Amino acid sequence: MTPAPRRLATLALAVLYAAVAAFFVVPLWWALVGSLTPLDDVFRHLAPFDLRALWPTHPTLAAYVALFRDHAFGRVLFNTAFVALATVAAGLVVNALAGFAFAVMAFRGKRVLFVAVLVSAMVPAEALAIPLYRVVGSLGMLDSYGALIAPAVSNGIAIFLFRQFFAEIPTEIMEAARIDGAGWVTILLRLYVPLSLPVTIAAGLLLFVFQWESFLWPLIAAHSPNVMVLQIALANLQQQHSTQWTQIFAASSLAALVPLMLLLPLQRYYVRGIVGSGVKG
Amino acid sequence: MAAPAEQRGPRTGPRRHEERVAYLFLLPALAGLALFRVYPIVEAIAGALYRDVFTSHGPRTVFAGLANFGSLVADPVFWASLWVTLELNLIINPLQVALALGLALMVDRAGRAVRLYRLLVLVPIGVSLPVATLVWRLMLDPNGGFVNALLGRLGIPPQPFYTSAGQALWSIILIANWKGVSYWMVFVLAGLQAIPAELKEAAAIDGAGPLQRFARVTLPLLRGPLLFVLVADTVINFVMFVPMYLLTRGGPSGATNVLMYQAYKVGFAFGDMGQALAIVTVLLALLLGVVTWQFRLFDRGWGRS
Amino acid sequence: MEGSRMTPMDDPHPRQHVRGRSAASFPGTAVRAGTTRRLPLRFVAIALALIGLALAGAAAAQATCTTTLDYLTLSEFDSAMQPVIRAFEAQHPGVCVKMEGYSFGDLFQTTQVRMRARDTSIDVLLVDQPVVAAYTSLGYLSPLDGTFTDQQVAHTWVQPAVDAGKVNGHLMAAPQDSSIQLLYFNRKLFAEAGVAPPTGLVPGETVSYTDVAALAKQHRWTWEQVTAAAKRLTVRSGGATRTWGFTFGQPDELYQLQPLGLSLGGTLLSPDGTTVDGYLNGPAWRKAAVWYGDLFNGAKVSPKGVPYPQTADLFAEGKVALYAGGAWQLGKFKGSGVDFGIAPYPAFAGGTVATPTGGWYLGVAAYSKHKDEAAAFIRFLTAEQGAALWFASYGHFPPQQSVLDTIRSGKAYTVFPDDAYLLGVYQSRTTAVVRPKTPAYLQLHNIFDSAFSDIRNGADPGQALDGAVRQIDPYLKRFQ
Repeated sequence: MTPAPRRLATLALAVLYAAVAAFFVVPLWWALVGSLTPLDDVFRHLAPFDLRALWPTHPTLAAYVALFRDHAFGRVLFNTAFVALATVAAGLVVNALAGFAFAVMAFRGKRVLFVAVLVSAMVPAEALAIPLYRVVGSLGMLDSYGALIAPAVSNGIAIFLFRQFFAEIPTEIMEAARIDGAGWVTILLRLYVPLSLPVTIAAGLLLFVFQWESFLWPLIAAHSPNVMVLQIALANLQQQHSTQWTQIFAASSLAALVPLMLLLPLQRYYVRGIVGSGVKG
Repeated sequence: MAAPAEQRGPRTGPRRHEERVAYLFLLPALAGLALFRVYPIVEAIAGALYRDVFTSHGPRTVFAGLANFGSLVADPVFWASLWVTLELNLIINPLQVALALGLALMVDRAGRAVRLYRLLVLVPIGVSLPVATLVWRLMLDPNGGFVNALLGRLGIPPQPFYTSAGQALWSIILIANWKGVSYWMVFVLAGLQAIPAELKEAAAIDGAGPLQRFARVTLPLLRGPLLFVLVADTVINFVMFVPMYLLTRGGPSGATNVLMYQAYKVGFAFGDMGQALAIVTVLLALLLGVVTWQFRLFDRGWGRS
Repeated sequence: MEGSRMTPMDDPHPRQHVRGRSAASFPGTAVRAGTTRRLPLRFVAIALALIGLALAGAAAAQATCTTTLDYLTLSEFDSAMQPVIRAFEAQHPGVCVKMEGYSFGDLFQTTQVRMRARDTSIDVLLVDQPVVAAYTSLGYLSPLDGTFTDQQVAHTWVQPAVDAGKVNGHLMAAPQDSSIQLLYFNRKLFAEAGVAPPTGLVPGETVSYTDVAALAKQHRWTWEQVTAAAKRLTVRSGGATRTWGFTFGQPDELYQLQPLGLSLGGTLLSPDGTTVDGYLNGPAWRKAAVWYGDLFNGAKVSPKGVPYPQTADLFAEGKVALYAGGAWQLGKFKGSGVDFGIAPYPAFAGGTVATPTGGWYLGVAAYSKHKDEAAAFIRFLTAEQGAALWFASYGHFPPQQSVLDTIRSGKAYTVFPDDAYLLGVYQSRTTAVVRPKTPAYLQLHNIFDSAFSDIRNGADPGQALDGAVRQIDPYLKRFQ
């Protein structure tokens, strides 16, 4: 290749890389900047377009203050955190137990039950929200933390992750413990659990993100203000105050911050967990 | 070593104990799945067979057989919604897989700079779809959002985006891509990085150009991850609800009225639960069909590699 | 995603499944005191602590109420309702009223969702006037027959208001308020643009009922005049619109737009209520829809994508010159400092005058566990001291004769801006049209709103109306 076309190709490639990065970063950056900018300035830098739209001109926390003062965001954040953490706590226990049983123990119907677990994992929660609403309603649990937590605890993918992970651990150690007379609970707690940091993180993240991002289910099952979670509060904010761009930016930034802080550093475990369970082929 | 456990009869003491403990361990998870995952499917199908009859003294639920499904067949809005759902999925699923692949190829390099670049590209993975929708709602605001402001600088008139029947579905595809493509890229990247470099070098030595290397060596070995992404992504996109609810309300003129949104509208805005469950049943059946078809592709691909 | 098909039990070579780790690296039976074991426990501890906090908080909030009534209502009413609640609680010690507020769009859906689930936690329901029949047929309301005496039912409210609350002779919901709609105009923007504003009520004048009636009869603007003025008042610069000429308070809403078709001589439903075909898509409504769509897509004097209540914010911020909205915004506009006047609600040239009306009703929720206390609250708010308190607090046009009398005779109502209520009295007597009373109202208004939203976004008006008719008629047939 002669030098000129090569330089052109490199330039084109650089532009591509820059454009792609900008596409992914700019919207959230604009939202973050907008959340710290006075409302009028947000509009002023948009018409006509001004690069100052991407930098906080007169930084102010007014939008965040309004969120907590006028829109009960403190309560909303508490609800969201409580529900997510409770789901993770209960979910790790419940799904690890099942994953352990599938991986290590022998019992009749194991294959059938495991396939059933996998199939149930394939059905998306969104599709079941409407009939689930009737089920939970007849249990009298609507509009409560229970309505949000209980259906999310048993998770087929989490069971699958635990099962794959536990299945990799050599069985001689388990056999030896059995011969020594150890009970199953002891084996689980003292042999398997201490080794399970990667899968615990992966499954924990899975459960957390599932709960954090849930929308249709909380929309219909937990809409009253005292159990409202963040995604629904965001939707309400949009519907009732759609001109308050800075408040929407502030709420969005807050809502994006928590998972980002969790997922960016921990996504290796998450991916390793799912990829390492045989996806790659 | 003792004979494998499953070959011994279940009646012997330790085996029976193990079985009982196993069932106990499984109980909470399976009970949860049965109650909150399996039973709703039954409820959907059963509920679709009933209909509310309204009298001046309140509603009565009566068995209606296939009347709800009959109403769907006769309802042009249902068929339009079905078409929109299929249209959306036929476009978005292959598109997202292709983009994930493209992105993975772009970042499949070594070096600290690339790792930093990867983090930039991964920024949307922590963002939930509602947040993505809200931020992009403002980006695409027809009266003068970020994108229209940029376009204005380039002399292009402001676009209606999600307020126009022609652009609304594409606006939603844009938002879903922004949120999802880097997430799926991670899986494809893991697949790419698992390909031994020697294979590619060997092909290069044999005289294959970069495009041929990609087609003959890389792509076949990526079949597994790519199909995983396709299946998992399809399942999610088939029941996409958030942007239709927050951004377009199924409009304009039904251009984004997917089955999931139609079911919600009929069930919760019109109060017609039987009809809503009928739509959910149809949706589940469609999903089963699509996923089965994709699994067949998956299995075939698996077998060959 | 199948993963390994072999279980550890029947795999003769377990080591091969250990990816990248030799068996020797596993610790055997030794317990590792590392962070791994503490991880799940930490989550559990945090979860327990949070549960404890939540319980403590809930306990603290209990206070001294023996009965707490849950009033499912509009979030907008929250602060204005507090004086009423305080007065009620003073009269009924031990009974507390808790407001559970939702946005206008959410309220309908939430009521549906929770009442269909037979939620026993709701005691008082806020019911929009046209859905009283629908909620009755859905079984959401408990009759109020025993709550009011016959005298009270006959004389407390104006006749149309109480009639709208009755279904099959039973009073199912009592009128909390009514409403009137006005054409607000920004005097400063009109002056700046050099456009003559509508004749109306302005600061600094004293008017009598006769003056107001004359104003309404002789100086009412037409919708055509509104569009013409709005075109001259819309200011665009830098690719964005800085000032809008006109906006409805509640765009796309049946409540707001019904008078458009009626003004041109059309109706929404057939007289027997069995179909909308030929009515909603008849010539009158087609013309009205074309005019409506033109506001956003042709003349471009109204903003797309700005719903209620942000439209009111726009007027309060001086960003729109003409605002067709409710009298309940008077307080907001007065407080915002915008220089405005009030004119009668427009009509089409050569057509009949129709003004929106109808308000909110209160009903006892059918599954409530505190029906008597709920009924007492409803009686207090709709027929006793609560009525005057509510009017003073929120400003919704009242249906109660006693409060109407204070308007007719009050000095305060002869000056701006409260003289708008005199205009309201005239309107409610002469030009007000209620929304159709049909059990399929929920579907009717939902589909109507969607159709007009599509028209707002550029859809062909005729096609949108035809589509709406096709969707509504099946529901009308089902409810017969």
